[in-house]
Amino acid sequence: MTRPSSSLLRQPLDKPLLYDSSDRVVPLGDAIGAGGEGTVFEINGHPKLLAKVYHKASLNDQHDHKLRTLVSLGAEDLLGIAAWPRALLFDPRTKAVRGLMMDRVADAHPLHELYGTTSRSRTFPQAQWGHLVLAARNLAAAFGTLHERGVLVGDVNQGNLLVDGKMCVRMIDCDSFQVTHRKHVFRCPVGTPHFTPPELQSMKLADVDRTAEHDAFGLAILIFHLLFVGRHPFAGRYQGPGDMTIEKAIAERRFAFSHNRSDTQVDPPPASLRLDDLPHGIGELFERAFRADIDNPVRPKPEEWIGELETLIKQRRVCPIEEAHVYSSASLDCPWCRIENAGGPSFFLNIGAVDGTSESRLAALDAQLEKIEAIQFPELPTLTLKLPRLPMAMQSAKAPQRGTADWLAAGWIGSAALCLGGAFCGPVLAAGAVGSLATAGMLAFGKAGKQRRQTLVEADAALNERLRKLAAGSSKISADHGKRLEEYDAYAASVSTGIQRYKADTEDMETILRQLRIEQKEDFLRGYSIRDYRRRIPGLTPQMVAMLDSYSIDSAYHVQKILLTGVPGLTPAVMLELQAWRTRVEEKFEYKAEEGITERELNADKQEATRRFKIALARKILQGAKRMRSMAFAAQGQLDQAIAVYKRHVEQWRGLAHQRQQTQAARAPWERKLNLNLATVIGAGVGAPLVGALLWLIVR
Amino acid sequence: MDQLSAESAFSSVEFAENPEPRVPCVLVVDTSTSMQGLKLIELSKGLATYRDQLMKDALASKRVEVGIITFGGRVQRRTKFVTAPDFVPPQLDAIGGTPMGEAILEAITMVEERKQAYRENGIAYYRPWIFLITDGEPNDHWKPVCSRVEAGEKDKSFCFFAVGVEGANMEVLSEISVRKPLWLMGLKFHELFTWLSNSQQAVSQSSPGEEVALQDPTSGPTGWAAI
Ligand SMILES: Nc1ncnc2c1ncn2[C@@H]1O[C@H](COP(=O)(O)OP(=O)(O)OP(=O)(O)O)[C@@H](O)[C@H]1O
Ligand SMILES: [Mg+2]
Repeated sequence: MTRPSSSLLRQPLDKPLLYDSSDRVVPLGDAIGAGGEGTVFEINGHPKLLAKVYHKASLNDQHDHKLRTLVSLGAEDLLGIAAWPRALLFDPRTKAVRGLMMDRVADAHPLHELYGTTSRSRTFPQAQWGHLVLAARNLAAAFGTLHERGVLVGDVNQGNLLVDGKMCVRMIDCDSFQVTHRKHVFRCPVGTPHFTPPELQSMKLADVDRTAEHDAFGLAILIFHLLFVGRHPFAGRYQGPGDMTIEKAIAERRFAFSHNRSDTQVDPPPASLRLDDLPHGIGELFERAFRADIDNPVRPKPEEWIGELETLIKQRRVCPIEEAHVYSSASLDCPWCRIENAGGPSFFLNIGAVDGTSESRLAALDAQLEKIEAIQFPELPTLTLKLPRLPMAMQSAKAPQRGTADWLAAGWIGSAALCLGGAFCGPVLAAGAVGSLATAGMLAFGKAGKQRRQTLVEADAALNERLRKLAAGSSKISADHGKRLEEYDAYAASVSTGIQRYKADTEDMETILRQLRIEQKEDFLRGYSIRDYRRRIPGLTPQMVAMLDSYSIDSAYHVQKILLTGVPGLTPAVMLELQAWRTRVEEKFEYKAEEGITERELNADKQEATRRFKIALARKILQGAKRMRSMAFAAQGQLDQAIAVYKRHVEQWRGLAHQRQQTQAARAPWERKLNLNLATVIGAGVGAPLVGALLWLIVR
Repeated sequence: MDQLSAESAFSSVEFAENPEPRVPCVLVVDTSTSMQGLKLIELSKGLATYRDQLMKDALASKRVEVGIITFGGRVQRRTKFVTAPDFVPPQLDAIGGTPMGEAILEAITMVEERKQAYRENGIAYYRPWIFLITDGEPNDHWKPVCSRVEAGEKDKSFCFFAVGVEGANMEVLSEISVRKPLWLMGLKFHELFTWLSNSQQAVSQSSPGEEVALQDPTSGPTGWAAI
């Protein structure tokens, strides 16, 4: 429906002389608004009332009848939520109905001033998302009250609803509502296509009896506008061919935020809230409202909305970083921060306790920045990561049980003694030699001796293998930790640059802005990888790309003369082409005032621009601090886990080592030395008689 | 993977902040030497009127977007599409010839780019307006432009209006424009821009796709045109 421009108001208006039902003059005051059907005037002496006077001098019977019925239906609950017609106004001469009187909805504004971000900051500076949810709840309640009385809004739109500072919602333009009286339906002949359900799209509305299902569609659209700060549920990015108007999308049930993307073929618009940012129940209501079966729609009733929205109000959460961000506890992270971090707008601003000036916002942020305590990145416990050493062999308290090998070793010692002593007596030597050879031979080749040697070899091999693994594990832990630390340090460095810039004086702002521009440009250039654009650079072969790669020249940023000249295999022609490509890329660069201000603004009002810059920066720093904290936290967790595993392995190794030492301790000391390995045993077995024989020769 | 144009990538903030449906309008303004003096002065004042009128309407100030292309010597995009609160009428200086053909093609491109940005950002829009104001005749290849304008009007991609100021070659204008070109009476730029803002307010409160009957600019106390 077309609302004529406000210019109507600027044209001279004739103020007709009108009577009320008891023929008293109703003195019209100033006109405060005009619409397609009539002009709305103040009434002198009655500040709480307004008069709507129709443009037409005589109304048709149907309209006349409808207005009289409306006045007769007025009830307290309706008067509370709507500017319901209280009385009629008559032409003094013809007695025809010319207009009506209604309550003035004071200090209230059209709904779009609340959900529109710019108008909200002007008209409702205190309103945060929670307020929008509350307005949605009250809106549903107003629809509920009307529906209880059998009244339908019919022409649902953003202009016929006024909301006040307390988020209470009231309806105007009630003479277009559809009412039923004694079985007679007084229709609402008009509609607004963006709020009209699919089954009524492109129908002639004057011929349609509206139902509560139709109103339910319009109500859901309005609630969506509020919750999604102005987005229309059917305006998204259509993936199919051709243009998709909202009317068409509605008719084809292409709800742009639906979970059923394969059906709708529409992606939600960028930088907006998502359905998943809301509690599941609310998402379901939207899906039901916008994807309802056209032939038999069952859309959410006002009571259902009231229930879900009240739960949402109770379970809302305030962002720990920016207290102006209010969101549903259904989402893990603050969706407003997510949108802002991705370069989207600030839908809600922290206006502090008193006013919306940047000074007070800055003071609030200052206080928060103070609170960033020094964040500790966990240190690597180098002592714990040292490799374990063999424990001392502990002599067990009770005397160890001697085995065959021990006795054989003892036998050899005796034989060896005989061999040495035999230097003076041949038969003794012979006996010693036989004994030595026999005991050593048995120790060397017998089962008992062999087993002892093998146990030791195996134990040592196992211990060594595990030690090697431990060493590898320990160095992996250090390496992983080092990598995390490096990442953290890089991040911390950028945060601390941020803090420095934040603390900078107004005088240094220009330098900072220039620097930001350079950094942004460098990042932009880094985004253009040579490999991806190879085909656009004449003469550049894959081999050259590989060569450039090995010189760490992989993006437009690195295409600099000094860097290029060192690279072998690069012809001067290709070098020029590369540089030309870089110039082309550079031309595409468009500086985005990242922190919200440009040099131009800085020149206009340095103080204010600096404050705005700092506000944006402070938010980033707080975000950064949050991220640093979570990095440190994650690093601690991962380190703890890895160390626990390492420690368990060390314990296992110690267990094995201890066992080895125990076994060793259980052997007689002389056996341990003699039976060290096969060579020692044989050497000793043969050596003793030999030495004896030698001595015998010398002595003789 | 899709290519993302700078236009839409950088405008996502403005669209997210204000997702209201848009009524785009490009003013294609002749700034050739012949416009020098009173004509340009009145036209500049008219632009300020236009802005002020739009600002008076809460919904129109969120929905109507204006962009300006000038042609005087060369074709220049002077103002990218902005809503009234962000519209700063540019300083217009008269210089050079009248490359009208190129300017109209540029306007068509500008409108197409804008529509693409709307689509990528999920913004509904009304049929764009291209509003040509000139006091001369093209000194470049303008013949190919006729078929482009005709095609655009036919498949409803835009509405093309031509306004001739004293000195304009109305014959050429009526060859280019499918709608009858309008002849500005005297220097009634104030009335012209008031009419423009009123018409766009009416459009902005209708629903996209709907035909809105425009006020007749040739009659009444606020009339400014002759045919
Ligand atoms: N009860 C009220 N309290 C405050 N302002 C009101 C009230 N009723 C109407 N107005 C103002 O007057 C304007 C026109 O009123 P209304 O919408 O009832 O007229 P209309 O002729 O029915 O217009 P439309 O063509 O939109 O139906 C409204 O936009 C609003 O600003
Ligand atoms: Mg109305």
